[in-house]
Amino acid sequence: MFSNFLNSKHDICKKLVDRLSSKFEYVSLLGKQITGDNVRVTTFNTSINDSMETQNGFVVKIYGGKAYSEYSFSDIDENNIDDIEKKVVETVHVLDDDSLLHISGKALEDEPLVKEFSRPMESEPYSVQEIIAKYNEYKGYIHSKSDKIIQSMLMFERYETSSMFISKNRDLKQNFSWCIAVAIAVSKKDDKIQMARDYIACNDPRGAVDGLKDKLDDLVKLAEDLLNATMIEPGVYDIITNPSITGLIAHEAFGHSVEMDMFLKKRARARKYINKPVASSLVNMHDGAAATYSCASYFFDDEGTLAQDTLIIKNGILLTGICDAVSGAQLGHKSTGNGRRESANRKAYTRMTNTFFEPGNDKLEDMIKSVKHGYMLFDTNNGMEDPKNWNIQCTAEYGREIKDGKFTGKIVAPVVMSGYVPDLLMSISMISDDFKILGSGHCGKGHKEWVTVSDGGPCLKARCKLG
Amino acid sequence: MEKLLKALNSSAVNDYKIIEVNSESSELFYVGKKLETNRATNLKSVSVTIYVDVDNKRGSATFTYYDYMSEEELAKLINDKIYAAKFALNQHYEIPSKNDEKPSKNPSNFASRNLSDIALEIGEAVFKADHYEDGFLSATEIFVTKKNRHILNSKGVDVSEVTYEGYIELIPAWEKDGEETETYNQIIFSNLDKTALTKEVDELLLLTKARMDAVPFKSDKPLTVVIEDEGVPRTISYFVNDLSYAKEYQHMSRSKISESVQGDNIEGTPLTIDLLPSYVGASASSSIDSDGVVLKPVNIIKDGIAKARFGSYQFGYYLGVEHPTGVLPITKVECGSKSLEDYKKEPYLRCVKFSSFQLEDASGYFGGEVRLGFYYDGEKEIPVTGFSIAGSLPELKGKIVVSKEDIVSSRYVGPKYLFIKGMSII
Repeated sequence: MFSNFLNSKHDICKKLVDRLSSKFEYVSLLGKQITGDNVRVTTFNTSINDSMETQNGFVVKIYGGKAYSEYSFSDIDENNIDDIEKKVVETVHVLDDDSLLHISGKALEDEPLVKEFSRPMESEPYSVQEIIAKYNEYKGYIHSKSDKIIQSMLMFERYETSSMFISKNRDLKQNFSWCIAVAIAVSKKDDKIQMARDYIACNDPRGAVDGLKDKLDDLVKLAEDLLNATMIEPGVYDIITNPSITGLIAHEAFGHSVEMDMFLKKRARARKYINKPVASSLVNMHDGAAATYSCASYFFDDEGTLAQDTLIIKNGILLTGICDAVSGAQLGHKSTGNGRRESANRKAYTRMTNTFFEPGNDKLEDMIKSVKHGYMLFDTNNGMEDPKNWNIQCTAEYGREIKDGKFTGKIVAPVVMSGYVPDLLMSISMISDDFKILGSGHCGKGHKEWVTVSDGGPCLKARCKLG
Repeated sequence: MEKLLKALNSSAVNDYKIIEVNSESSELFYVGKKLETNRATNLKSVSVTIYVDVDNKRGSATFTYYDYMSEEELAKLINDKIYAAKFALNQHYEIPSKNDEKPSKNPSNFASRNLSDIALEIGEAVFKADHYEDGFLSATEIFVTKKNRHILNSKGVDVSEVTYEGYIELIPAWEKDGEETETYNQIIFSNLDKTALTKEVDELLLLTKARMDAVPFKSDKPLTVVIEDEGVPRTISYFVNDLSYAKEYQHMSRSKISESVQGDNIEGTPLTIDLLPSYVGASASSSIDSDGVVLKPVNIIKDGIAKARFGSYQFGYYLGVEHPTGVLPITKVECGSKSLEDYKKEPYLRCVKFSSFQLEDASGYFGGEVRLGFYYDGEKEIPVTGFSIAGSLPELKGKIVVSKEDIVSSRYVGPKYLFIKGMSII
């Protein structure tokens, strides 16, 4: 249900926008509230907190003829509206400082639209009491399966986002929800400690908690297997990526370089590759809040642009980047609905949403059979973008060795992938016909500005330097 | 706040804690030398934790309080949280009680100044270094933030502090023969020295030039690796985190007090590590932790031997510690006697810019992709790129040598370089 708090603030926010619109060429206001719970049951501790996504606030955006200005605040009412208006004007006047050079900005598009959107949860969530009871049962089960497990951790997080966007011509409201259930098992043998994790991310809170139980056997097995993991012999190998690593490549290795605020700052090599091949002709890649249904599927972005599905790579050719409104105004490119903020307290940037490769026509078993010596890589550990140089910095949690088309049973962990992004994408020779989106991610811009993102796709066969 | 206190005091909670943070900031976002956006923020957040005791166990629940909540809404919310907390029962623990110790002031020359004036001054100092023909700052973001944090609880703790932070995200770029490169940098500080800042930005531009000139590097055999930048505090955190009360309580700690944390045979530098509440220039300085514990320096490792644990009041209580240290923000490592110059006797690989330095706390695997390094071939340093380093701290912990040269960053004070023999080059 749309936030009562934001509903109660709508009219006074509209009043502030109207007042400021008499002074400035472009004015918009975003109000955003995220509420939710986080329940954590570990071997040693149980805790109940607000969701980590919890936030509440407002931001006014102004274009007055020079650069753009923003003022963020926590609450607004009849008692402080004058003060807020004064602070907004003061913030715009910082641009009058003689030492500053400005960009040549322009007023953002403000097509008329009044609309409300809603996507409720798909099931009635369990109460905190019920979740804790189930998770205590799961915890006992994990420990009963192996004496090598020294700690288990089960987490459930549910959050509901409401936001409203008000400008002279637009008045939008949206409400949607998401949840994630996570299980972690920590194993120990002698001095070696390893950690295995699995999760379910969806909009079905009951299904997520119940479904986690079915993953516990594999989780414990993986935690035990990882105790036998060795470091990989560095080298160039055939690889098969599971959907998590496929998503890591789509998002981290490539996706950041098509964020068009990076084009503006000359930070993205991809700007020189529009309409040129960047990947094998088998590859099609998308991003968009409307491209699939996952944690980054909103109805409009934090600049009031409606969600879209952007086809970024078609048959290996880079067609376009993704764009926010401010960068779009400077580049002469329409926003693709990718203007996102960590919260109303932070700036909007071009950000990815749901980023993925389209499925292909190959069977995974045929892909494995085709590998003479290589590794299937599983589950994202971490990744870091390098949009200007297209160097790959992606780490998989673990890899399983394949020799002569069969898994040998050998496990390596962690596995660092490196090399040049287009080389990796060009080397994609098989794409599986299955498809999975992983809706549990958070993405930073550099080392900050965290937003929820999903990524994924099918399994890919490629060639890459591993270490 | 009165409404909240009244609601908590008239509820069935056994204890409570309130953390109120009022913050303001001034922010500048540049594309090249031109300002694209300026921002200001004025924010308030209130986090409330309630504690409920049942059968000698303690449950807790944390929630966010907003001024807009009515008395009825608040009473219902607190009752809901009390009900939930009764199902989140843990071993009983106390929260800190009133203490006469006053938190010290966090040192900063930002105090009493207008934040947007400081942000503009930072901008001037940064762009003073942007004077090269082929090198430039492609993107710069400046944040100046003041936070006033007030912590109070039902046992009489009532402490507050003001902290300041200057944060710059800086992307210097370099062009040569139609090719371009960049480096990613963060500069975080709580004391502004404009001359030193201009010099630091200039050095980062020249490092970016070095990345432009860097050649791909390969080595089939392990080398002496010199780790600097973010790799140093991340590597040191392996030893620090292992001595937390929580790690010990959860049977995850590898370290034992009075025993070596670096193995039986320390070939490198026996480490000495203190945890501090504050240090001049370290922006994470904080005189109180989130439980309201007034922080004091603690020596946790002396000459490679674990001396003490540290951590939150709850886990300290569980371990029977009479005065838990609280969570200290700054790690200070004692410098060594060897300088980078001393290592110029045989080849080494100095790793300056990582894409993201990784340390797996559990396994001790560490390393990352190096975007800029310098290979010393016995005569000169050659800029190199296109490789990663990897190692296992359980194997290498006794071989780390710390440098004589030192740095101050937001959470770390100590040696600028770690010299480690035997890391793999990938």
